[in-house]
Amino acid sequence: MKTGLRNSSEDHVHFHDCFTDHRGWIDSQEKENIRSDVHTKGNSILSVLQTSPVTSTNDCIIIIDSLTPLIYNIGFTRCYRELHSLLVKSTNGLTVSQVICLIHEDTLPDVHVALPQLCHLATTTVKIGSHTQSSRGNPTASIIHKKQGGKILRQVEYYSIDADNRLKSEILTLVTPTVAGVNEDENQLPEDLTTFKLSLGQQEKEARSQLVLPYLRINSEKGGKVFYQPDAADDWDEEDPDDDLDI
Amino acid sequence: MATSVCSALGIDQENSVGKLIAVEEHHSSNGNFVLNCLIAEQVHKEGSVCLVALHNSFGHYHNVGTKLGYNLHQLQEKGCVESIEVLKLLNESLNAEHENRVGNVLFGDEENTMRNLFHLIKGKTEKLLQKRKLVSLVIDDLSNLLSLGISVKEVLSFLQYCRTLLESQPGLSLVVLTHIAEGDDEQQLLNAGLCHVADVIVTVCGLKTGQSSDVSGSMKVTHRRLDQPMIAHEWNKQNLYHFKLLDRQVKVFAPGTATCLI
Repeated sequence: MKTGLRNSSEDHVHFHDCFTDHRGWIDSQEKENIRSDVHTKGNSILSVLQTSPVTSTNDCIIIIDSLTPLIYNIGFTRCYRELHSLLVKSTNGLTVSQVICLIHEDTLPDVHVALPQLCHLATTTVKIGSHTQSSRGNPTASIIHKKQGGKILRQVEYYSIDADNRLKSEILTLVTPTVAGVNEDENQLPEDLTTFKLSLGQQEKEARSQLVLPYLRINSEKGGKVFYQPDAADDWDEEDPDDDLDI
Repeated sequence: MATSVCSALGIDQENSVGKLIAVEEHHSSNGNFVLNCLIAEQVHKEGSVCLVALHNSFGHYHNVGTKLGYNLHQLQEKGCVESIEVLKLLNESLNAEHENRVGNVLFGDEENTMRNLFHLIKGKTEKLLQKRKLVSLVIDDLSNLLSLGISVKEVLSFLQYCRTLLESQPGLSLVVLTHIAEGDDEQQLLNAGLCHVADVIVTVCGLKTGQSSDVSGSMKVTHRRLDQPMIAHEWNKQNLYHFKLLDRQVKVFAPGTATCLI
């Protein structure tokens, strides 16, 4: 990792190696004794900070490159408590202004329990995802920041890293597919379908409104009435056919 | 013979010293051929191999090796190949535990088991590095340690210690195989932990639609070039191949270009 940070001035960045002999296996073999207290060597953030050479007591930023080995070694509860205490009180005369942790979601045991708790503890959560349709092949980052007043800022950006290890990011704008005329009134006839003139001119509209349909009678009386017009072949008889009945 | 696999993996062009190659073997396939081809490549480059055999015996690797063109027994006699046969260690440890004598390497406290195994490996790699400049540590397969009852935490610690060897012993490269079965959470966690730190990830799985006589399975190679800037199209570049296991060689080809189909 040291080779990656080319432009940083070395006075300000202290590297703590919690990677090389984190369980004391190499040391203990050379001394040829296996003591149980070797397990606690460098295993917690607080103990690492306590043994670190502190040159200034200014506010410092702690960056942890992966939280998973820590959670495996000391357990999630203890890790959570230590992170919380780092933010709340000072250790060894050192006041911590910010803690930045990297979590690989798929390597965490019990991730459905651990991850929401860590997100709750954090004021800013940056979730890195793979590229989407709108991100032009670049990976995306969704950022949720909780301000002190209670307001929450949400933003999605896509980023890329150039040859000089500089991060370039832009806000992701969703690309909506443009369809012409989608919002138009759907009752209108689609006029581009044929070369025939389907629309009506002004005079034609007036003529249509004045038209009286031949078989339509406006029924102003109440109740129903049957309108019957006999044809030429019909035999219309006014008499009542049931007259000769003796009831 | 093994060259087609090695060129697919890209290790004949890139230097694999100081790098970790992770082979992810999904349930219905066998990723052993990748290890055998990598051993063949290492032998060809006149390097040494330290083989930690958890899944098969040393004789098995020798037999496969003769078909690919190298003789592991001879190389072991010459001192170019060291092996740690965990299956034999299991036998010795079990006997030692029953008879209550010293020699129980594997059946003690979990951490001690891993620590002992690590120290064995460290000793062997140091011995090999005295003779040759290039040493390849091949572990087959890491998920078998979970079958011994060891927790994921200890296996990941063991893996981390093996990675520290990459820095403390220049000239060493690491190849680790893990097996994944769906539904086995521990294997998934172990595999995720391994893939996050690997430089090259080879995923070997069977065909989704079933078995075929022309294609044995598919192989996806992902190069995580962590030491180079992450340009959009180069980042996490993945290459998908199909392979066919034959008697004396492995044929690797692009999907859809099997010899019977062309």
